[in-house]
Amino acid sequence: MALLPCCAFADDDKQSARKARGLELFETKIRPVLIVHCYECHSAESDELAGSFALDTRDGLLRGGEIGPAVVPRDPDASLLLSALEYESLEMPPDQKLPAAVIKDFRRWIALGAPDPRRSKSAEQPSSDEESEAGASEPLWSLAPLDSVDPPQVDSDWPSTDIDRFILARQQSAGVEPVADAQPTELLRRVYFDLVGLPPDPQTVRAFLQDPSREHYVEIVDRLLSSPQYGERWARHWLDIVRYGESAGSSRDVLMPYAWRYRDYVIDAITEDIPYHRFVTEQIAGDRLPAGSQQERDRLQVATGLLAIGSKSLNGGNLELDIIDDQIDVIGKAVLGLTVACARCHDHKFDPIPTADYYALAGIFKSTETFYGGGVKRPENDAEKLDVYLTLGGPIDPEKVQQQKKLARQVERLEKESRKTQKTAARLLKQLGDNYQQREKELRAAKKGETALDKKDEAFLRKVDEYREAASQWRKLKAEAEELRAAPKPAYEYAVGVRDAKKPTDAPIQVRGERNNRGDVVPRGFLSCVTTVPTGDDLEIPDDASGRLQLARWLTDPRQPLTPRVAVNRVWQHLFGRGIVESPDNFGVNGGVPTHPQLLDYLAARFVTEHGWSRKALIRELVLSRVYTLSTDFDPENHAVDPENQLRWRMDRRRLEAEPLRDAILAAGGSLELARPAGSAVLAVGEGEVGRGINEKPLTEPKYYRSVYLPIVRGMVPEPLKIFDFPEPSNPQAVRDTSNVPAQSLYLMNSPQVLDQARRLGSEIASMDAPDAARVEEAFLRCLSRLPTEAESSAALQFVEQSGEASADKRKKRDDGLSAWAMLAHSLMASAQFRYID
Amino acid sequence: MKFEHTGSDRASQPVAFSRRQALAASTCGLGMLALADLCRADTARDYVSPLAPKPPHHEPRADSLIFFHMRGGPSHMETFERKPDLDKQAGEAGRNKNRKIVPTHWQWKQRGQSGLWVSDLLKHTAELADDLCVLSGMHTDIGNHTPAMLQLHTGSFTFTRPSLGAWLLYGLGTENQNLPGFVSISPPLINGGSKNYGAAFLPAVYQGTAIGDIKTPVKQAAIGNIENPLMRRPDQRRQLDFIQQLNRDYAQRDPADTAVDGVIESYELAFRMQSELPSVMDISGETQETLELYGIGDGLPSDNFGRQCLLARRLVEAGVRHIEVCDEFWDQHGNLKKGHEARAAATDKPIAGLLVDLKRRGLLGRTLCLWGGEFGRTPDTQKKDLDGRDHNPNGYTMWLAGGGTRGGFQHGATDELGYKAVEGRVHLHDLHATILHLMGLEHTALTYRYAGRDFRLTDVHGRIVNEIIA
Repeated sequence: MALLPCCAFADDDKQSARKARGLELFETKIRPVLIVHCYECHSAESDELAGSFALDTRDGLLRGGEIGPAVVPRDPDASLLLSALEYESLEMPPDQKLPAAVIKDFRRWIALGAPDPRRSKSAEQPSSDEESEAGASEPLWSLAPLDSVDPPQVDSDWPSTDIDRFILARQQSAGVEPVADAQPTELLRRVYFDLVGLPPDPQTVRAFLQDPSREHYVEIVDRLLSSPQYGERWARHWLDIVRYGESAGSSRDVLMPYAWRYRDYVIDAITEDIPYHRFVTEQIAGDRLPAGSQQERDRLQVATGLLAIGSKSLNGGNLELDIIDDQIDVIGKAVLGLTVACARCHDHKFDPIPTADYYALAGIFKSTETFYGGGVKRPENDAEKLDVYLTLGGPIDPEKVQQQKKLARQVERLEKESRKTQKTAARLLKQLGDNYQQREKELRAAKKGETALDKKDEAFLRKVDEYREAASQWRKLKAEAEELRAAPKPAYEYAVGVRDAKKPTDAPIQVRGERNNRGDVVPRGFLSCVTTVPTGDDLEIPDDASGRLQLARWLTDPRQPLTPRVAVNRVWQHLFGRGIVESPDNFGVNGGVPTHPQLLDYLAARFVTEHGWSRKALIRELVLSRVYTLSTDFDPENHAVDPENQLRWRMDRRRLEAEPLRDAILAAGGSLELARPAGSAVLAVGEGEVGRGINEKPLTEPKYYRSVYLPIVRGMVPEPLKIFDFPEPSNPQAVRDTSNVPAQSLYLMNSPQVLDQARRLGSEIASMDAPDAARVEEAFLRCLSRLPTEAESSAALQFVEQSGEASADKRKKRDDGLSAWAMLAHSLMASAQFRYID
Repeated sequence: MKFEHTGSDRASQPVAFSRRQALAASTCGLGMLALADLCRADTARDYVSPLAPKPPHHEPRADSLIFFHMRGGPSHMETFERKPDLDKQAGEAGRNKNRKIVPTHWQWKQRGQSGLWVSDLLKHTAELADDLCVLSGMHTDIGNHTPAMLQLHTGSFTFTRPSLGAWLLYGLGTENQNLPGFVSISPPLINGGSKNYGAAFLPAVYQGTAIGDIKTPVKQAAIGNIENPLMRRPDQRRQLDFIQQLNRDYAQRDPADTAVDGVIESYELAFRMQSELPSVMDISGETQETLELYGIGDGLPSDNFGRQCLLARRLVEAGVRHIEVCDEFWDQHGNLKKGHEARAAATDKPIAGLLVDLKRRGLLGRTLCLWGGEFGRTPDTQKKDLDGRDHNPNGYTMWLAGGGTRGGFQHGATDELGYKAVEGRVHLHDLHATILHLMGLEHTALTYRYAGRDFRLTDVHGRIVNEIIA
């Protein structure tokens, strides 16, 4: 690697030759020695900068440290560095003097003028070398102001909406033609899975086959959009990009038993179609918004759970800074589509985000208190929980909290004593032996009969009394403790989330993101690269507030170009399989560029102005477009021009995500429970940590509710989700993988849960009062939401017949096994079509 | 439809435009179905599994990697780094006056031709000294178990990052498609749990497969869903034929899409895996001599770990890329003598047995073995009885064997007492870079684009330790 320094003025030949020799010497002899022997204590990488002297930049070397400049170019004898190497002034490196030859190299290099191509990483920009080429020069398309765009004129009756006009115009100029519309059953199944994540039931399929009109389709769309299942489906998309989880993940996987409230908030907000700008604001600054009722106040507080549910490295690291980083990261990716967190340690390498901007945001979250539970220190009782959680239901009387704490201490004391007496009683009982009552009876009788007892017997009786005393004492203490424990106390409802810190403050730049390495303090603020949102009073961060509310306003200002573009793109992605920008959480230099930039801007501008940030309105508009209703038919001519289908000449075949796949299996088996479960299985486990003696049963027992409610313990993601590419819940993930691996096949072939659903559907079908062909129809309707073709029907009947023989054959030997109809149901559930949408 | 990962430069190479697509596109629709049918006959060549073997960056020295994970941090001063000064200064003040220097507990001898010092604690491993490449200048960034373990496995202790094994699968694929390519035997549930063999943002196919967990003896461990509880194999085959017929019909409808081909293939793999995996895990065909070599036998302290090691050999033979075998805790802040002895009794013979077995089967040359914990231990203690050591991330020992490493070689050292690596320093990032190098991958070139930038196992660090390569 040859990094040449910038030399703006002309050196004479001799000088530049010296410089070149010096540089070569630097690269071959000097730099490696500095790295190996000096950087550990004298660089930005050092834990503590020894002697305040950094020699990993030219400036650092020339400036020197506490005791003056280290290098005087062309004057080796005046250079402190050299005398230190020679062990004449300081003795460096401290463990061993470097070989004489190495020291000689240094002398020569300094004599040659100590040329050094290394630049400070933050102080100055190199003026002309290759480093400056990245970014900066070309403005980022995603930051351009969002203007309304008129749909193009096209000469065709194919479009049914303006969206189609944008699509068709591009197709026409490229020479591709849209394929035929989807079959009614394909379209129905598609829109069901897309809007509610569930398959249509057989009656709906039959009814739509009867009447596949547009009016009927619109009616179905509207019905689906107003169902609670819509919120459950679309909430999960949001939960992916906000890295939803119910435990700390990372190093110590401590459970977060109250994270589910945030999940339910998201589901409800999406079901109720809270406008997107409001939705974002609630999650960033809900606690700062006015509320008309306590219920609304609680809802807004729970919304801030977004900032608390992230994965945390509880054991080591820079916890406070890491939490702030997680908060910046999630907002950057989810709302802005920018990887802002890259700027934690250095200016963003590609996007126009300087480190100072990162710390302007960091100040906002540094001024915010995050409540996520006790971390590795588990709260044992209400008194301790009150310190680490937020509470709902209104302000808490501090006196009551004191009482509560006192009570907790009392209970603890009583329990301790009770355990002690229990031990004593147990010890005494052991000494007395199992049949002590018999002996006691005899001795007491003897005593009554005035027979003198010997010492041993007397001692025995005393011990019996002692035991009785201890046992009754134990019972008493236990009862007291239980009584106190059961005493009526305020029922707190805990939540995770944030509120403003008592003393808001700006954050210093942390060099390399490390907590012990402070730089200049940066006033709280937003990203400087967005220039379309003018500063104004309502964006001024007051001294006594964190600035989250102002941040939320800035993010959702109608002139903010990123937020609506990113939001609209995500909706498109979930309906068409890929976004108009294929990197939905990266609209930066390294992200994708839109395939249909005008359409994206048209939709984004409409989203803000026409739809008032309503996602339902946007989704409705998209699923009513003609392009959405296209079939997945292959077309060789189109394919030759546009093999990636970027021009949307057909619908992409898509694989179901893990959740709708599991829900569909349960639905086919007739076991799916649509009701929302109370809280979460994690709440049933309570405070604890994975792998350290928690009761795992609530997490692992079979569940029949919708997959969005499955417990997401970061270290224990439920099997049916994990196997089918559930995102790593510690990282925001915008696009799911769609892998094909044997573990998935094994799950569908052999998992007891899948077999159970197959058996249920099989016995339902077997008990139908209908001919076998109708039974096959029912199986196809339940599993694939369509009728079988003739060929499929006869193949299925043949398979059932063979299976019947096989199972009759087997029944002679064993009584278990799947019935022939269950084998058919199972086959359909395991088929590729079951997990793909056309 | 292409759900390729943005910029995943290595993984996505072969799928983009298949021969079949090209053929199909050139026929202008004539006889499309028939042609698609024809082409589908060699589906296997078109659909490329993300786990299929991939060309390495350079000629590899090793094909598989076995990691003996000694959780908790074995003491380098009790195993591979002889520190006579500890005995001389025993009881004197350590780093500060609250800490006292702890003497060593075992006898030391020079072993083999190489004369490496190995203590009597690991007397079986000691016999293989000439095969060991001992790294005594190891250091890492953090001294708490869990983050250190995460850093050991993923390079990072703060962020959720792909594990070494996931990177290896991503870079190299795996030889035997009927078996998982990356297996973690008896992994812990704590200390980062599945993150230690996770794929993080790499595609999930690259994550490790756990066999059992630390709480379950490997004898009782099983892989999930490997057996159908209700169906006999012939019935299942017949059912699979029916499913595959449906799948093929479905695949034919879209000649440009290889995803359903992938489904078809993964069913066949799964079906074969049902036979192959249990047969690899079944050690009943091993000779008594082999069982004894690994220390396997009822009631023996080494029985469980011996089975883990034997299973590791069987997996290597079967073409599995990376196997981790995991021990219990070497974390003796007190009771060091008893504790370390117990760990040695469990692991020493099995590890030596595995090395011997690999050697005599001619496998050690192509199998890289790695031994060690997440950090080492301190020369001193704050306890009075001088029988414990605390965590030490600043200097410790791991060893490599086979797979192109220099045998009978010790690289690096800590200071006279063992506090800090002072010579031949090897950071974990350097070790990762070196392991990838030996496996045929260039750590700076093995990248995956996530969230707008290219990630590496070694992040921006890592130096290949050329000194230890044979």
